[in-house]
Amino acid sequence: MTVKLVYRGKEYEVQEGMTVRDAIKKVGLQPETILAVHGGKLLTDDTILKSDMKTIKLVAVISGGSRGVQLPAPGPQAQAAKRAPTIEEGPGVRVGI
Amino acid sequence: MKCRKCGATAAINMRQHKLALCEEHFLEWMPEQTQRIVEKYRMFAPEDKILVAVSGGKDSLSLWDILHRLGYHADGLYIGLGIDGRRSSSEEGIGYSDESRRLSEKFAAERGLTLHVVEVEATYGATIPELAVISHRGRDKPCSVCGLNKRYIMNRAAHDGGYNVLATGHNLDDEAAVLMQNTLNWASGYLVRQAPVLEANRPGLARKVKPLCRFYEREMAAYAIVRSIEYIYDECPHAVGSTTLYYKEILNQMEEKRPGAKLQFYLSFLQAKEQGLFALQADDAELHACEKCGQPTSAPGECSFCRLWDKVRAVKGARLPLPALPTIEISDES
Repeated sequence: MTVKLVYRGKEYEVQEGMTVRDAIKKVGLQPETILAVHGGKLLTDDTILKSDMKTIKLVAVISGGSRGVQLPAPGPQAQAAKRAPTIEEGPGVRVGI
Repeated sequence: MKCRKCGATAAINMRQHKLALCEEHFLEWMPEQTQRIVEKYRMFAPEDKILVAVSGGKDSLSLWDILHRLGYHADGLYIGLGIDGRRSSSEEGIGYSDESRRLSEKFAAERGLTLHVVEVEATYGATIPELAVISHRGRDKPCSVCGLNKRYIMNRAAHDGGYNVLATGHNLDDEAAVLMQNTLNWASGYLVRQAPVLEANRPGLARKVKPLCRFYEREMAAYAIVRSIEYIYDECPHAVGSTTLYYKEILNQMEEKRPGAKLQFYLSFLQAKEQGLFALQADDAELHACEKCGQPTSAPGECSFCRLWDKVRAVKGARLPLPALPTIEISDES
């Protein structure tokens, strides 16, 4: 029997009897960046998946972090960072609030 | 796995603390820990008036929720950036900013909280993506001009609104990723200024605090889910592929092998700073008042924000309003 995992609109099937942590790894995701939700309740990583669970929702904890990231080549930003920032630049490089 | 406090089925296991908690005790633990962080770093006191910068995301809305639960006087500030998410004129947008604003307003309305809204386009005459294209700043991404605008507007709104402190929802993963990036670049100027509290040590600067700086991003997402906070799930479309996300991934790979690695990296940095690691990098640059808007700036003359908008006005001409002087119009939406 299998259990369905749903992550960002994509569906995966894994064998029952696996832990949540192993299932997350099995579908190629980092367990540290995922929360598993069943029936609106959070599941801990050691929870054993059972076929009666049917569908488990996987929630990415890092918004946007699941689409593959690439390291941009060092640019002017890295050079600029070696001097003291201006007051308008703030404390560092940020994403979002 | 069982809750350490009551033995019920645990909802979350925080491996870095060797602590598993059920939903009920996790919801108690989060505000308790936040209060400890607020006190440890002397962020603010019960009588302070706090402005929380909210983006509609899990961190900022959860922060606002926690501060409200703790009984602090905390109002929200939402900055409308005009980001639609289109990569070309023919593509349909995802309405990123519209949805972020809707969720922020919904959150405030449900709790009877005050949310101030500053729409960049309505106030200054262009959206952030337009601004990036016109100014040719930040190569192909608007993140640089976005950061500049947000910092300026947040500081000014806090200052003009009479708030003692500006709180942002940066979590430990945000802080550790920036720390890693700045360390790999040996960016001492940035490193010396990274802290849970940025003091308002110059006229015109708002005091900035990060009450979530010791919580993992995972805990913040769990809190939002357990509290049924509706937040914008997608990150800003311009953040996809950013260096910050890259460093977060690297750090999480380390965390996977060694639970607590991220926390130790950040806390060791703070401890080293406290012990004087960056003593010779004292931030003693003199600040000047911008001759156009009066906000603090590093060099005499106009600040970066005014220079940026001057450039845009020169291109867009009469379509833009005159410089907004001297205060930002803040509409109270609640």
